[in-house]
Amino acid sequence: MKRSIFLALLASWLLSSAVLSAATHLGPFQRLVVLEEGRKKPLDTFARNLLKQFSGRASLAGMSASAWLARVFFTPEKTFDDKIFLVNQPDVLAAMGVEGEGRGRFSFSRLRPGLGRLHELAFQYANLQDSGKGRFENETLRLFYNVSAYYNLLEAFRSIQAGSAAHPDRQSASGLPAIVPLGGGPGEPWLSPAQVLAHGASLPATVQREISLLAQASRAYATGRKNDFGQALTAFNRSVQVRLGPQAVRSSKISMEIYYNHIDPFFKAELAYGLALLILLLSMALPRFRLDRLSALCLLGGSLAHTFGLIARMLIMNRPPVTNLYETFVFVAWTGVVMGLLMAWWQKTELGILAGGIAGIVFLAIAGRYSLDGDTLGMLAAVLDSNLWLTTHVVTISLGYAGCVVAGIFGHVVIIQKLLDPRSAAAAGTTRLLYAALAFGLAFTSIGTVMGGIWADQSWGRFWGWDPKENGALLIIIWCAILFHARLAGWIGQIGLAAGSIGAIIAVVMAWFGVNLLGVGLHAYGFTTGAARGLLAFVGGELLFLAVAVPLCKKNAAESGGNKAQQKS
Amino acid sequence: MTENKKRTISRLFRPLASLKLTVIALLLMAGLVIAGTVYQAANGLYAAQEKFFASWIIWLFGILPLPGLLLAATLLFLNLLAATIFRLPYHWRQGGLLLVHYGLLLLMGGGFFIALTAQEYSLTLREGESSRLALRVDEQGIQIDRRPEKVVLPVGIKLLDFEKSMHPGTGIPRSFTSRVEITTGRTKRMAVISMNRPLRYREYTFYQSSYSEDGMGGESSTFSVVSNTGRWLPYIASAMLFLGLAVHFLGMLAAALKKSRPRGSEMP
Repeated sequence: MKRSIFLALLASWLLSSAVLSAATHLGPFQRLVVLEEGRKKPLDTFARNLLKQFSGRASLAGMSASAWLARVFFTPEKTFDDKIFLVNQPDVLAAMGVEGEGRGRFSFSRLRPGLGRLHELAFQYANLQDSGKGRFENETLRLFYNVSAYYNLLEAFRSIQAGSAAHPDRQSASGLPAIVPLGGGPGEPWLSPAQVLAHGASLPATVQREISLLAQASRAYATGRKNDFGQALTAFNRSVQVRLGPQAVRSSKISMEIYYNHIDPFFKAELAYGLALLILLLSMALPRFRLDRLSALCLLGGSLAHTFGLIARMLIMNRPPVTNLYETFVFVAWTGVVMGLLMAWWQKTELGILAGGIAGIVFLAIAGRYSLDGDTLGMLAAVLDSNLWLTTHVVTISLGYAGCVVAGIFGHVVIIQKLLDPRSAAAAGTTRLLYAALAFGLAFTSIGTVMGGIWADQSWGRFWGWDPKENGALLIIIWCAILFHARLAGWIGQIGLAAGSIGAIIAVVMAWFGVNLLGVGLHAYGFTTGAARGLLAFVGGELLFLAVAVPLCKKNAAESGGNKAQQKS
Repeated sequence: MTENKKRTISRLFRPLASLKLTVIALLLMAGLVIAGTVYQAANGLYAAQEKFFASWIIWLFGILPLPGLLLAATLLFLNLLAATIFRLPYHWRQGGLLLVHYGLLLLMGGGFFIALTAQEYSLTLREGESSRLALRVDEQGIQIDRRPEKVVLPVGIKLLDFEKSMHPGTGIPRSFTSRVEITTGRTKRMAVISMNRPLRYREYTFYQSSYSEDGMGGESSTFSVVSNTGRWLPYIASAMLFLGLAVHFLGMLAAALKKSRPRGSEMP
């Protein structure tokens, strides 16, 4: 009974959305449809991506991204003191002649005196080759692009609000949300309000009426008439919807996406997983209180939010769960958590919670970092779109990755158990779990790789092409096969298998994104340089762990006089 | 065959079935795949294939011979073949694993067969142009050092129209489509070749490979044409692999469930 109440509370927290109730007049504003990077999305998503790009966060001091963007659009001067520009390198501020220490968020008015210098610097760096840019140059450029984007946003509604023609400089300003479709057809351009004004008198009457609705809304917001603001935008949305027809923009998908944004399911799942791990630690310290069940419930609750997020994304985009790098992180995290839960359930072991919690929190954290680069619900290029083999092989391989990662986590546990007690009986149990996870990983990586081959054969006429991504998957398969056969041959025992499974994690991360880092500029700098460094640190750390722990384990085993044959069985 | 002869053969080949040899061959392959991939990042796919993936022997610094991937894979293949004869446990309970190993054998064997027999050509047509002549592409791409060999295909192909479409408001391509007319003997028919949707004709398959625009509204489309009689081999191997893994793991799962839940236990 207590358990179900707790679960209900947890679920309602996970699926509640604090922001949704806060500002009803913002509803129609969030629902404005923007065409960006080929996708029609709610303005709310546009706002969140923008604020994340500027500040690394999706909200500003308790204010939702949409609320912030509305202020930028309609009362621009009031946002000059908002601390929205994240500066990771204090040197950039110094070079701009602006005072400030450390990494932090700064307001437009704070940066303003240095903008001239920032512009000069960016002008110099923009033409550098990628290899010539260091952290400082990249951070300078990033700040410059963000401030420029903000500067453009300030003008987005100014001319409409004033009822004048657009400022000539601002007509072609890029990065402004294209919320007004010119015609109804699929090929017709979508324009930002300022661009529409620049377009002049040749506009259809409906578009002109929509523009005047936007002007009304804009003035209403500036003078604090929230109700009028909401009504004008509702009328605008309805007019656009009628013009486009119900097929072009699905109202239910827009609602779903806004709901998904506000719930922020992956962030909440991350918190729940963190809580699960924390309680698990407590339960190990205080075994009397049976806290392990509470910990399992937290993991389960987090996985509900996680599942909701995955399904919502599939419904919004009408596509399978894994189609880009971001989604592989989310999906592998999810698979890890589900595997952990199943193990906790079937095998009655808190090790499942440990492995699931770690896999969930680590990969969701990576996904969160990655999402700062822009919209994670991007459109797909021709080669990647709508092919059964392609989509299934990516999902299958991701399952395989998760299996290997979970096995590797158990590998750490086995080594630690062996360090604490060379004759540990628990280690044998952990090894069984490791074995199962590794077998799962090998099976799904193999199937996924073969399916990838089938896709390549169907699309390119060759089953195998020695592409780095293929090689990475092959390496995982070979490595897992080595572990199983070496164990059968008696070349490695429990410790060897544990160490080998940690090697499997290294193989997985190499195949997964190490391969991407080998190539040139696949993604924006923000992720890649940080990721390359993080990857090296991770691999270095694991190798160090192995180099120290494995000899210690062997020494312990030898000292305790453990029978070697028994060790290996 | 006499008992004696059988024993001799067995003595000769049994070591080939050794598990330790499996591990050694796999370790070799792992090292070569890593080395080849890193080498490829710096020197390109062609060089990496020549040096690592399609080579028998790699001469390190020109003097030290190391096994190439072809040698390692052959070793693994022979090891697997010997294992299926001498070592694998022939018992119905191990049916899944047996199927997996036979699938692998077929996958590798098929790979060797295709590498020896498949041919790849490249064919570029402007809109309105028709041709039977294709350029021979060898395994590593069109050869640069000598004039590409021209081959007459048994099918004539005419490009009627090429179309590409973009996601609205972006430079991200949504699809590439070529409408073609194929002529065989006295018959003609229209066909569509697009990304992920090749045209198959007997042992030939036509893939949309790339396109170009001449800036004056004219477009041309490039197809890769593959003739591969062993095309179905990896499919059968994959099916065996898949089935084998499924049988093996469902069996394992069933056993684990039977063991771990002696009485009705509840979710923690």
